[in-house]
Amino acid sequence: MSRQKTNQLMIALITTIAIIVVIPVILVILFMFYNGLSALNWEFLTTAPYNGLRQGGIMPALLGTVYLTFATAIVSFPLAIAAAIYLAEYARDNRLTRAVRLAIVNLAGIPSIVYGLFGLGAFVLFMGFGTSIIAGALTLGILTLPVVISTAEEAILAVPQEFRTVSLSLGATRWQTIRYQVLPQALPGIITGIILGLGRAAGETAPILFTVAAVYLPELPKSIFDQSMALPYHLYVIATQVPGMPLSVQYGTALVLLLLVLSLTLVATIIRTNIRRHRQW
Amino acid sequence: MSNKIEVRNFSFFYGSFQALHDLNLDIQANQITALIGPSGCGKSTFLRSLNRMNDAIPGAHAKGEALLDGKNIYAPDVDVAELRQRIGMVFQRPNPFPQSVYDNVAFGPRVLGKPKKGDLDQLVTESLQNAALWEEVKDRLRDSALELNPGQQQRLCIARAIAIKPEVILMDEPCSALDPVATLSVEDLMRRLAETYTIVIVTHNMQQAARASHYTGFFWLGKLVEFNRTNELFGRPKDPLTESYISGRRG
Repeated sequence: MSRQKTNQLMIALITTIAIIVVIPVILVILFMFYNGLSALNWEFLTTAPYNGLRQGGIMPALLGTVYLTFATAIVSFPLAIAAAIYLAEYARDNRLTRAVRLAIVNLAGIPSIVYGLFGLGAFVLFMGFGTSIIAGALTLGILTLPVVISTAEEAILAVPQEFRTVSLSLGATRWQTIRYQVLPQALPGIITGIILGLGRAAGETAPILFTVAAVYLPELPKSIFDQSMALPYHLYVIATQVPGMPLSVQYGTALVLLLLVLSLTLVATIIRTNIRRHRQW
Repeated sequence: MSNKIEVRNFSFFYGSFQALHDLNLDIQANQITALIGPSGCGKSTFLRSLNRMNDAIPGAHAKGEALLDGKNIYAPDVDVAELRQRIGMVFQRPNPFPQSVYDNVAFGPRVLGKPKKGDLDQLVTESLQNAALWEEVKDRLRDSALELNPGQQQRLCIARAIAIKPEVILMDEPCSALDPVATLSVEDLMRRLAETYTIVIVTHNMQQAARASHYTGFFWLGKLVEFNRTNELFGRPKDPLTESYISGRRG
């Protein structure tokens, strides 16, 4: 076979395989829409379930997940920013840095059920928060750290060295340089990372299993020390634990969860694209 | 005429590599001192060692003394941020922050203290006037500094540097990224700034050094070969190396 023929064949092959990667994503989304769309309506989103979860909507689970996601952001944001600033700005290559980096890599590899058990032991029992939003948010917060720290570090490192040099030459301290030049320029990138992390956290079931989730709790939580329903766990319960559960409600719930996570990812992508377009250096 | 900076037996090292060898020179107050020499001769290292911008490089250290008004820049009790407030710097590439014209000039005063709004406005106006940029930007103070042309950006960087009221301004090839017209306007500006400030400029352009400076130092392989009044150095170079470099036969 001639070189040109091989060339064309390989390009065709690689393109085909690349397309195959996209297919499952599209199929999952289409499948959820096809099966779940009929269950979706205003009432489904705004009422609590009743009749052993078989009837009514998903409002407490949906709002529970929204609360939980916000609380996770509040936990994750300061920890991740501090770690990213340390790694990107202050850390020389020493034992502590290597330990921090190793910890981050390992955190990313821990199975989510292990986070759940850790959250149960550390926050629910040892720190005495009980099954509560705060225990869940702390657990999910740790779960999101690897992705948030690495995106934030990347965003900080992307700020050109030149601006730090100029800032220092104007008599600013290291901290003032970080605070007034580096962080403002890195902020959109950092926010992207946090949203991506939250997208991951919002869809997790195992970490909230023992730390926050209630099977059935029609009232909304009144404080962060209350239990709450949550969408992924609710989906797990109605899909496995409730005999005679209408399929359309299961798919409808899955569809809402999927849309929630997808919209978070979409927002992150839009912010990221905007930074790339408006980056002026 | 008084010495603003006195350099005595000054050497500078990057780790074990010696970049500067035993320099001795006096930088006169309110004069423009040009540093010339081929790339890698140490002139930029010397410039950056005067406001300790090399400190961040691991392994970098100095020997000997560089005295600013009689006080060693490398003394252990020197506050580096304060030193940099007294010795400002303008860089090779125009590098305004990706912020408004106003915020660029106001950055230094803001980090050094908490100026009142009215005072800050006044200071920004004065700095832009002294940098010969005010007329061009007075209606664009809130616009992004990146919308200015390169020549304007470089004058903005000068305005930003003088807004913190330094005593010395170090300029590291400030015109190498500019076209000839913008270059001449920056040189004009330097001459006027020398009435108030002491200026040290690194340049690759020997015509520029001859045109715009009062004193010139010629660096070669980390050593200061010759230092003299500019017209002396270019008119009657004492060292044959200087002579061959400025006449274009070496370098």
